[in-house]
Amino acid sequence: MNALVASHTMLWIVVVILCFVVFALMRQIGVLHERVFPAGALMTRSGPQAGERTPIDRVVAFDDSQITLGDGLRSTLLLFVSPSCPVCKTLLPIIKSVERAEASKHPLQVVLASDGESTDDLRQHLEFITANKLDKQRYVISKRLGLAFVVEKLPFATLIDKAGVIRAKGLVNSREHLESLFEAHERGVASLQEFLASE
Amino acid sequence: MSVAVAISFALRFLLAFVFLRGALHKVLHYGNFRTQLAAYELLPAALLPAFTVFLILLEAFLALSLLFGGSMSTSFIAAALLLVYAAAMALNLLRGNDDLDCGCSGPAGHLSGNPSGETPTISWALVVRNGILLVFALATAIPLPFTSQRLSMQELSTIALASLAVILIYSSIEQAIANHQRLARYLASRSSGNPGLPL
Repeated sequence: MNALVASHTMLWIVVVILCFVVFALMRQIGVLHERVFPAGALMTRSGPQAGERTPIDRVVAFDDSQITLGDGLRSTLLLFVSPSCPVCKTLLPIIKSVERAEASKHPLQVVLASDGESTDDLRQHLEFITANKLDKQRYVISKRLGLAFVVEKLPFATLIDKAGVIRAKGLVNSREHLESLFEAHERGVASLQEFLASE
Repeated sequence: MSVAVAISFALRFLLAFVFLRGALHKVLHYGNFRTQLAAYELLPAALLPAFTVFLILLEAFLALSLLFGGSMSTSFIAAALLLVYAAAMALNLLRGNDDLDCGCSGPAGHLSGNPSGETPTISWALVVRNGILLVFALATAIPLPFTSQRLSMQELSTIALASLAVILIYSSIEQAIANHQRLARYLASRSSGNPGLPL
């Protein structure tokens, strides 16, 4: 009987320790994935590349005012979004905060771009703008723009410097991705991935 | 004390853990969760704030109730809530909205929100997970041949250890689901010929 109790107690100890070990192992695999898969925005091979001039330098905003991409005064963060993309919505407050943080370092304008020019689409855009308190002067609806930058997936961001040259671009899902664009620009590389690969 | 009693306790504690974590997650990421809930496109926008608060209170109530005794009705409410969650996910998967943020707590919380290669099967994994939790919830509704006598120290420790083991194993499985998602995402981005990625 005594031996049974001893073996039972021993087994419980082993089971719980093993559970902890399995959990720790799983966590480690998770951390490993995060390290292997860098946090930088994903670059795409198609479309105008970093270092090239922006294919379009003048766009018309939602309220019919003019926006110049690379007006010699400030750089532009061109962000392609859509009212029907949930990730974009979660990204909007992040954009505002990144804008504030980056604008304190150098002059920056953030332009949101979307497509869909039918009346029904326009109503959706208007709802999107009001619901998220966006700036109509910085909201562009243009299919041409998306085509020119070969935007395949949203949310997609392009950083254009004040001279109108594309500095960094990529798919952005998080604050880290957005910041990686500015980081890449400051380090003079096209993407964080390129920077890591060159290390 | 029969084995059934120990299992019932362990399952109840596991469910309490899941709901408590869920409620905490929703409180801490209140704004985010509301956006994610809106993206499920199941509720009119006007109901969202009230429903979010309702979910938080319900989960907190379930967690505490399961922790301290619990009744048959608690188990059924828990099962119903899990069913609603699973149905909401399944419905959106069937609609083809597999780029949806799950809004779940835990490591598998970021169901996707990634632009490169969603893996809907992963989201189905979460539906299956909810189904299993649902069965657990129903299992705790089975009335136990419970004697009024107090549990001995040994019985209490068995329940505590079993609960700990079950919670750890559950967490490991969730982490495994999250790891699988990351790996799938990574492989998808590699096969799509992403130029910037190391390795």
